[in-house]
Amino acid sequence: MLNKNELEKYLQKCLSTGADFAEIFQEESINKNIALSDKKVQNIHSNFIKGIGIRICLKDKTAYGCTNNINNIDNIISRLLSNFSNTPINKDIILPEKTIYKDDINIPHNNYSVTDKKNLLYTIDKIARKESDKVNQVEINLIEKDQKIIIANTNNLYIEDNRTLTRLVITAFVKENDKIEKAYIAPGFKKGYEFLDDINIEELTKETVHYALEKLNAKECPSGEMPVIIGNGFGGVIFHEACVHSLEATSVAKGSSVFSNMLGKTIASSKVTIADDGTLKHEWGSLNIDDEGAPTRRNILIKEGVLTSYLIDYINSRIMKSPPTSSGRRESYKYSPTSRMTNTFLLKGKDKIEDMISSIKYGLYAKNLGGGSVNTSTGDFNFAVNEAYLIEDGQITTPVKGASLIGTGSEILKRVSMVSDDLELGAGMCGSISGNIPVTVGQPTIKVDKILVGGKGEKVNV
Amino acid sequence: MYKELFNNAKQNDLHNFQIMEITTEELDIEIFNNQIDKFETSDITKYIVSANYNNKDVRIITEELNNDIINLIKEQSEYIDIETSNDRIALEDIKETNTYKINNPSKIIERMLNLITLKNKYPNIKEIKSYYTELITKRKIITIENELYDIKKETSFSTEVTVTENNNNSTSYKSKIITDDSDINIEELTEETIINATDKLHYKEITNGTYKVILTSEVMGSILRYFIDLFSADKIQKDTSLLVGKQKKKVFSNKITIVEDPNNTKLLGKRLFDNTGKKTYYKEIVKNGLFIQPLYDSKTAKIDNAELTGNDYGEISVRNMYILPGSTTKEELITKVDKGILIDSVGGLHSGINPINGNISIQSEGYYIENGKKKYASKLFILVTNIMELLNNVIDISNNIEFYYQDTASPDLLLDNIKISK
Repeated sequence: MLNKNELEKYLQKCLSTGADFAEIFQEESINKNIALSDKKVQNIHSNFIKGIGIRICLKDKTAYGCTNNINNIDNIISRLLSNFSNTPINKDIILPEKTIYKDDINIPHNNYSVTDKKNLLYTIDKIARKESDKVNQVEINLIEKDQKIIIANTNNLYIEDNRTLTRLVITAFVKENDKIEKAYIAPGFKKGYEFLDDINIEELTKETVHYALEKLNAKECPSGEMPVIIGNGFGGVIFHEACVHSLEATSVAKGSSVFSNMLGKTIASSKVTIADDGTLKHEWGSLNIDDEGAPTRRNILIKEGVLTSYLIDYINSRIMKSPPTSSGRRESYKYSPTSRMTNTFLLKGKDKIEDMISSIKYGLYAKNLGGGSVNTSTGDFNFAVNEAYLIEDGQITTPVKGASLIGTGSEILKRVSMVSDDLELGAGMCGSISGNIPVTVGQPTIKVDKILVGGKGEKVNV
Repeated sequence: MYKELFNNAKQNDLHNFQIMEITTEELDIEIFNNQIDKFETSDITKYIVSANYNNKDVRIITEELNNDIINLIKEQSEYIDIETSNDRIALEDIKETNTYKINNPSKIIERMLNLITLKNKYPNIKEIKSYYTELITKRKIITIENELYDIKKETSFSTEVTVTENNNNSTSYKSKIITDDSDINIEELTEETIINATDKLHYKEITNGTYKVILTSEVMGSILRYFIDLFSADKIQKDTSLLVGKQKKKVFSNKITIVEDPNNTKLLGKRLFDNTGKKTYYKEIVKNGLFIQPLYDSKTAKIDNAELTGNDYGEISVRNMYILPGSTTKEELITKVDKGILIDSVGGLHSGINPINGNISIQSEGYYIENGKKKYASKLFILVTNIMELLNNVIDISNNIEFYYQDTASPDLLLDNIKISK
């Protein structure tokens, strides 16, 4: 890691050809993934990351370079400086004393023994296999991430953050004759091994096996436009994909997003209030500071259907002439930061789930959603439903599989007609231009009046 | 440095100690309309260090190589339950040298900035984003007996164009990747993208039903990526592949032959050796619909008492695995369709494809074909099938193949009886 004097020297050099902002992002991370399958720990994947990212900007123009060879820093800076040819700003870089943040961790990764970690995996494997003789394979991944970052910039920022993340991924495979299905559950926390106190391992494992078994017996999901009830927790990925990606300054600042220039306008049903809140204690998507060094905060993006804020990083804030929202994020020093989500969720409402179900003659109950993707220019999205049931004559009936939900964000937001009070959050990974980052999505159970459902079953007209 | 590490490894009873050094140099440029939106340069070296300690195979990826790695390997061996012998497999000498370098970007930047002048010819352009990347990857494996090395360079250009009319937007994306310093006709590719986006601006709905479907090379290459594990010995041994018990049996249409061609120096995914140093080679995985052989890493090969196949990249994977092209041109393929759909763009594959049961349900765009001609563009419909159905319903295969990914590629496929949902 570079010391304060070295940082000041390099930052000074970064301004030598007329740039008005420079930043050095240093990282040391240890990522481990302990993997069990076939009842045995087969592998531990370890990745030790250590390097430096340098960002030089003039107004909205950015050049970024990264290296893990300390002898190559001058060379990288020279390459970046070739993008700027203005009169240098006369400014002495003197960094303040470093501010240090550290997660409040009870059981750090190194304090939980190898034996304890392995026993945890064996226990889960046994519970899953005992639950059904159709379980033909169990894969479990115990994921640890310890990341130390130090950010220094020409706005007199000098800050360090130490982050600890732990996640458990349980995947159950079930087989009957030639049919094979899998289901997984993946709770994650910004915590050490004390996260085990927050979850019921036995319940989660059995639940995972039951998801998989239901798929085995499920019929193919019908296709067509229909009302859809989306379950709480990870169901919030619909807002993550259908809406909030299009609120990131990355696309808004250029006018590329379907929601550009829409602040203050009604873009959703009045039932919809969405927050992005990086401050939630111990949540998977939380941060003490973002990857540009700003302390995280709660941003209300949509309030009762009205667009109230975008997610804005530092450079895009200059273009948009609007303050940053502590939303600058990146996977590692290998990526330049940009506006991204943290913990994003729909706030709870007052509707009852029973009323939602009884209001539907024919539709889909998408209890558990998988990942998805969106085109921010058009708002078109697509994502998978992991666990789903038909709703017929106001009752939940048959389990169905292979469903996907397809549509455009601006339409879906307006079609949210009911929102319940059972808000839950779910951990996930979000991939975008600044890499894969941990995020939380969440929502209470909601009813959307009409969504295009994809599936291999018969076409229905509702 | 390496000598000291090898000595330390020996003193600490680490067998088969091996270092793989991977250095990447990269330049990324992104232009938005008439301005440089991104200029990124990187120079990264990482090391994959592997050894056998107490009969446990350990592999660690690190960006900082020093003597601490010896203790880390010993510590991490405590996690592993699988015992493996420390027999050493002799490696063949492979030494590929080349003097690639990152080009001065000023000319390509100028050409990319100039693309916006296409607005004079196509006034409905709302925005043009263009991306240019040069990537040089050098790999070196060092063992006590050998040094192996290979090198490759990829240059890619892609463009994303949004056109607009009466407040309706339509976006299209195209890319081209080459493995040398020859010129990419970025102007022609951008015009093709503009025309495609404009076609889709005037899209019409497709009726739900069962059609003849053409999947373009890019679309099929991207779908195939999700099914590499079908052929993985690890997944077959663990009973989680659809091809369990299907070796030497017919699994796909007899028109389908799938090969892996990793040491072809002209192709994007070129790798002369895998991460263990095993020399890669051309192989048939599926021949005329018959599943010939699974792909092995060292662990699974021992279980099946099989030969190594050069597919150990930390997990079992492939480089340049593709469906062999046929003899029909892509234009002739369209003339063979009386009523059908050409799919040239798909989205949300990671959520719409289930690699375990093979189901595919993905958002698609393309053209409706009638009497052998493209009639109109369509979008927001769903391709609903299963990989087994897809590769069994192949009627014809085009003679063109484009490589967009380092792992998989495909020619255009003409399929019969495929469900399209709307």
